[in-house]
Amino acid sequence: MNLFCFGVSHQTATVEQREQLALGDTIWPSALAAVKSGLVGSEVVLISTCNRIEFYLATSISESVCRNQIEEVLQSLQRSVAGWQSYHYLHQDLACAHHLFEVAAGLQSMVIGETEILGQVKTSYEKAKSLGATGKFLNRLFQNSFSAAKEARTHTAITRGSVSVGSVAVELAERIFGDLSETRVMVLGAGETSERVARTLAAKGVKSMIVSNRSHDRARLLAEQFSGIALHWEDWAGALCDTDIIISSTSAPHFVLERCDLEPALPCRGYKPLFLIDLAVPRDIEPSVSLLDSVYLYDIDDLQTIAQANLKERELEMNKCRALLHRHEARFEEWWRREGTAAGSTEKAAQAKSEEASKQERCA
Amino acid sequence: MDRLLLALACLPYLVASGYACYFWGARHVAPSRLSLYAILGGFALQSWGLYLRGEQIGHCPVTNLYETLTFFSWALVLNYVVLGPIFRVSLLGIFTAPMVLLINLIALLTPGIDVMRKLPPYGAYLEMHISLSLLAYGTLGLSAMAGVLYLITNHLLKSRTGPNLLDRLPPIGQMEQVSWRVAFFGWLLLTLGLFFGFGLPTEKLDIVKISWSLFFWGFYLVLIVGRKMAKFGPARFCWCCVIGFSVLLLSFWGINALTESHRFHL
Repeated sequence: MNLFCFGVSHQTATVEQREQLALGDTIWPSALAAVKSGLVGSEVVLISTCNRIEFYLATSISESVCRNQIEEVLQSLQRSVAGWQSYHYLHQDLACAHHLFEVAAGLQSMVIGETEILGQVKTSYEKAKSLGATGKFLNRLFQNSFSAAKEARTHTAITRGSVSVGSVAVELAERIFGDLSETRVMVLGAGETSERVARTLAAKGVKSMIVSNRSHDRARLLAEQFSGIALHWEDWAGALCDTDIIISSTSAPHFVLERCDLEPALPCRGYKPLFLIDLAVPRDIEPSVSLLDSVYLYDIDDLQTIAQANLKERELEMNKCRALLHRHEARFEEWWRREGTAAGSTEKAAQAKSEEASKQERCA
Repeated sequence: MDRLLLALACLPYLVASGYACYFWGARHVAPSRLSLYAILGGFALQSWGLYLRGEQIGHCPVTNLYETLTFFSWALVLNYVVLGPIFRVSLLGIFTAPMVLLINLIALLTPGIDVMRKLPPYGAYLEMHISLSLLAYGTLGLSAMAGVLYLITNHLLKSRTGPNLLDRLPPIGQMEQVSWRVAFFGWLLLTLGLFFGFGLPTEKLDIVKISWSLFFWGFYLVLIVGRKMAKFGPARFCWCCVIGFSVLLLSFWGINALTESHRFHL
């Protein structure tokens, strides 16, 4: 019995190459069924995300036959396999298990430690299982990889800290306010960057969203997306007392919010914390406002620095995470050597028996 | 026996203090209830010790400096045990445990402060005055600790450093509210304690002690009302809580030494 992983990922293929091979939700089951039917007696799981397309096989069929079958299926689904030989990879047996454990734990992800991949691997496995494409070997392999990934998440800091500007801003907002459901957000400047951060905050269920932009139409369009209110540019300062988070990203060449504007608004807010996110270059908010009591100002550089520091922290945790995964891999290896070899010898015995029987038939 | 129990109580407090050091020093700390359980264990032993001492002297155990210190540290833990879960700030144990350990060690190791004596025969009024006042100091102490936690979080957020350390601290908005509420509760207890004190039949007024007590009563009143009316911000409030309590703690023994009725007999 062999374990194979044929695949392409962001590490080996460009986005154009991955696009040509992507297997969306609609054709995914037929691809799985076609590979399974072409490789009789094999177990198959197919993982298809934006960063990787991988076929996991537990089979007694040779590697080259499996590869040909996958290529045929991809071609039959109008996927371009031209050049696939050069950028796809193959992991076999324990290397395949090692690879899956790392994928599930997020060590092979573009953003190290991201947690979405575990859900995607789980979904892929569940779908394959529901279609009857898995068996004893892949069931064991995938379930082991899930428990290893969960342990890695709990016992290492591999998923700790946000690594994008938007999520760092949200994380800081949570450090300041705790639950964000009572916070009111104001967006100054309806640009792409502020929209992205606002969207991340909105996903956390903030209480209300106000958008103000020099062009009122753009402000209204953005406000509609968040079921918020659009304010005329001249009026936003009046809403300072009722705002907890300000995201500013205008193209103004001067400060939009100055210390002298903000200082009088603090007592009327009861000195509740005010979180200012300045995403603009040149900056929109006068840096000295951070000297005011309960005002927390972060500009784009601060957020990026934190994101990079978090990413470095995650990279430092990789060795710890690998050591933890190694223990799970060792347990799987022990099982695999026992069961895989037994299955292999049973198959060989069955093959020998059938060859013997056909020989006898021929003699008779 | 009661001193032995207090000494034994120091062991779990030591464990909790060790955890506090680990908490600040380690890069990543998984949430643990070890600190809470250790503090609860120490609290149980200390309560038992105080109970035995009370039985022995027939009073609330606040008749000398040793008893006053242990009662005060007990009040600190009591506040932490009661108010911590209410305000969901179990993290205050990080500060409570080392402080309680320090006070208990001072009480245990300072020679000549544990001279047993009877309280004047003023009945429950006197015991209420002393115990409520000490409870109030414990509560104000907890408010100061919440203030320290606020100031640390505030510093980390303002300096834009230590995002990992921030993971372990409660939201800053919550810390400020906790500090205010606990200070308010402490002030109420202090008011009650002083009320019972003024009801005592004394031959002459202890002007120094009364002035000192009224100063702190007024100081906290101004702080609490001023903050509620947004006359100043949370950082100033927390600094005042921390400085105010430190002055209170450091001047407590000295002020008592200046007065006849509150003097600790060594």
